Amino acid sequence: MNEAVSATRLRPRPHAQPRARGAEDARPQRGQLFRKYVVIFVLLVGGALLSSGLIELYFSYQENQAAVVNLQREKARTAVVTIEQFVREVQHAIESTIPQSWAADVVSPEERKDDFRRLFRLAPAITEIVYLDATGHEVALWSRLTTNQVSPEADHSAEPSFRAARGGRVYFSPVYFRNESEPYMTIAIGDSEPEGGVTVAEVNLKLILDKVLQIQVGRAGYAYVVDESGRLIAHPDISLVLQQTDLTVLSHVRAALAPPQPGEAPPEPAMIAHDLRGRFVLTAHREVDPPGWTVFVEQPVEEAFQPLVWSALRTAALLLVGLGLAVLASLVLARRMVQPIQALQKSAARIGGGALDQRIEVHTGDELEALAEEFNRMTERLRDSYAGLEQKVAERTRELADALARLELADQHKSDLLSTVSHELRTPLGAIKGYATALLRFGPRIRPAERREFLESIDRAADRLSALIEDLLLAQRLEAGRLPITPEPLNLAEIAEEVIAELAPRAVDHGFVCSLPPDLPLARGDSRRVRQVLLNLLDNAVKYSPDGGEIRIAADAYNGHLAVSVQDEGLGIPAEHLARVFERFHRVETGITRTTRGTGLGLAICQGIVQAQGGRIWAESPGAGKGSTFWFTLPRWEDE
Amino acid sequence: MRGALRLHEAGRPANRALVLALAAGGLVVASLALLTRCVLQPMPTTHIPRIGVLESRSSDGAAFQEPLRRALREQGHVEGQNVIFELPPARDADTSLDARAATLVDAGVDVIVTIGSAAAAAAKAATPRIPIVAVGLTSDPVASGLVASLGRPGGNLTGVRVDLPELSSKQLELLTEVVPGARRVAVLWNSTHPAHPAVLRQLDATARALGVELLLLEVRGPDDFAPAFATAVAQGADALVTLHDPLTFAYRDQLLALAAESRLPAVYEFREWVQAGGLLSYGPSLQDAYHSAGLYVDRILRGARPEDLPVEQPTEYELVVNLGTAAALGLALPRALLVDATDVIP
Repeated sequence: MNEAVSATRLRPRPHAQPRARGAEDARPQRGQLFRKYVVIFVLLVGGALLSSGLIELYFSYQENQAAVVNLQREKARTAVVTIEQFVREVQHAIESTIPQSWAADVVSPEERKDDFRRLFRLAPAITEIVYLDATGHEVALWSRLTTNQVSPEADHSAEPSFRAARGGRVYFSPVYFRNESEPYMTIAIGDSEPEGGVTVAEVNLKLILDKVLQIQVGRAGYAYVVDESGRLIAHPDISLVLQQTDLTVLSHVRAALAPPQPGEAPPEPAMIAHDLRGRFVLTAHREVDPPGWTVFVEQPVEEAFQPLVWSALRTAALLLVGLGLAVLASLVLARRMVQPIQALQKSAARIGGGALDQRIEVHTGDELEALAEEFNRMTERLRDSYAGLEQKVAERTRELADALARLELADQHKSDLLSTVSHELRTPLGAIKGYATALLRFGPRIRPAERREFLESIDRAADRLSALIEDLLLAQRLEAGRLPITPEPLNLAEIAEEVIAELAPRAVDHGFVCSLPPDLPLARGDSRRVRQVLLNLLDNAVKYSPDGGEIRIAADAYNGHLAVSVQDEGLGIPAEHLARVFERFHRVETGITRTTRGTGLGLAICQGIVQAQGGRIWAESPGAGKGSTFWFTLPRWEDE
Repeated sequence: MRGALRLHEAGRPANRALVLALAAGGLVVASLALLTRCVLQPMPTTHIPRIGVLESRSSDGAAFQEPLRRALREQGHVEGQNVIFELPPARDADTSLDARAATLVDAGVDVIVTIGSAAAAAAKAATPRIPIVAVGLTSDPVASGLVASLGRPGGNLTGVRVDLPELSSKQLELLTEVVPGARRVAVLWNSTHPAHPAVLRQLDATARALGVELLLLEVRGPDDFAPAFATAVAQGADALVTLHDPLTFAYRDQLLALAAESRLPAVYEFREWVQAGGLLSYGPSLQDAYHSAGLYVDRILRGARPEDLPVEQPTEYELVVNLGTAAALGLALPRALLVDATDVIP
């Protein structure tokens, strides 16, 4: 993890990213989730709003209808009470003019007229009142419009008012109209004896009916009155009354007037019906008794339910606004819910695509954030293990390449070695073969001195071959690590003296200077091998300084090691060969070296021995012809 | 979903957006409610109806104005705000009724109220279209062609009847009650009035029943008044009945003076006579008639058609007596009459 990836780095770049696959896949899915959330929210909120609105509407419909009907019933009741009171008052007023039966005969017409006169003061609605005797002839009359003169010859005995009222009964005539516009009713009350007279009064109904017509329900509501036969006797539209409209054409009027059938439910006191103009009205009615009329109070349904329409409109408006808000809120909420999931999904897609440095930034403080954190941890671990794997692969690859190179080198060395070895072996073998052949073919003719010379040459070549093979074996063993090394404490000065003594007879032209300090500590190594190394180095020094010269042997101790140097004043080594002189069969091509003997393995063997004993060996030379110095080190002997 | 991944910032702005959305929603609701209230409420009409008034003879002064206005006020009309009266110009004898009716029609008034049968006829002649509410439509409006029938006028004119000649018999009866010893009763009648001949026939029958003799005094104009009274006095009349007639009503002051001078107890139709010094009146109330006319004007302004509005009949009859006049005539008014009287003028 280098640093926290900033939020902007997580912004989708659909075209810049080759991993657009994930983003494209995600689009429809994300849309579906978002849609689902929105639909669920809208359904929840909208459903709640809708149901509450409908319920409210239903109840307000019920309440409104009940209120209107109650109001109408109340109005109808008021009208009925008004009319009934009026009729009763008039009736009582008329009855007050009727003397008790025992006094009927003693009441004179003049006294009756006085009674009628008083009655007129009490009942302004009575326009005319007349007392008919038992034969139906006028006895006394009082009128507001005409003279109070009776017409003795007039016979009223056939009139329904006279016949129906006789015997103490009360008769209410159907409503009739005077001057084509004034509603009138005849009220006749008979004397109590069966064959008695009858008092007949003409009653102007205009004022009382106008009072009923003044009833208003709302703006368009109205009241009207029909008589027993369904004929209209009062209506705000007076022309309908004057046309003597028969209202039994209206079903609710018919139902209201129908005598209640036993076992049948009485008609609803209030219901919805058509009025004369075909409009729907809410109607209530009540019977007036006496005189058997029915008062209807009606209001057009549209007006009665106007508050309801308002309520419905309000509800609808609120519903719309509520739905709008629900959509808005659901968009916001769904966005908030979907966003982290989208981020998760997108980031996961990128991680899946290999962008392991991707970090998911979700800060919702809930499970989603925890999920994102888990994702991040997982990604981190994935990235770490991925990085370790890469490193290991690189390492192995490098090692493999190295090994391959070494293998190639070794192969090269091997073929080089093989050609060198075969070359080195061929030379002495050639000499042996040449001399042996010459001896066989020309033996008798060869002089003894020459024969001896030949045999000596064969012997030398055989020695050389043997030495070469021995060196090869040794080198092979060193390389394979199979050379047994037995470490022991070594006194290097002693070994140097012994080697010089061994070598000195062969190097008469050279002087050996051995300058090893007497207090040199003991070295740790195999004495035979160390001797071999030193012999080899001194032998080389002798060989490569053909003109003689001094050969110095020195040693020193440092850092737990002992360093031994062999310095000659011979041919020296060119700088480019300094490192390679320890390779097998490596020769510095000079004129002299051609003639010098040697297996070409000596220095390689020396290196193998020194390294096997934990030391180093190297060569130094200022240049060709300036001599050379060979160094090797050995560890100091440490008492165990 | 632009900027969808700026999640660490997304929380707060979303909350703010929600609050804003809620506030906006509240505003929307409030304005919607207001709007619907404003839009769906009925707009007040800008048209202010105008009522033209045409008076036959302005003898009555402006007596019609108060009850007419009261009726309109009762029905919710406020003068100057939703109703305007086109009052007749100052009494102008030179301007004929027809010319004044034409002026009102040209002015395009919405309703014409006429006072007196002559005015009703003039208005009816001037327009077949503008609704007319007439107070007083001649004794027989059907015969005179003002209306098709009392119950269904049929045209653009309806109104309130005040001319009830049939009351004359009742008036005669009341007069005999006040003057019990009357034997000869003078009757002031107008031969040009279409209803009077019939009324006289009816009155004759009543007189016979009451046992009095009628002395008919014909008048055709104001100039006939003084000779008629002179005749009455000369013929020894005990009392006087005046038949309903716009002519006599217009010159009632003159007639009342003549009656007082002749010491004739007289009966009239309207209370206005008695208030001016007449002895007795029995008949409908003019004030009520004006009020009823106002109610008809209201119904017409609310859309009713005159053809559907029946000609209204009086429902109440006033009995008014003047005690001062009675005393001046040396009459003791019967107690029953005083009790019956609607109004007693001291």
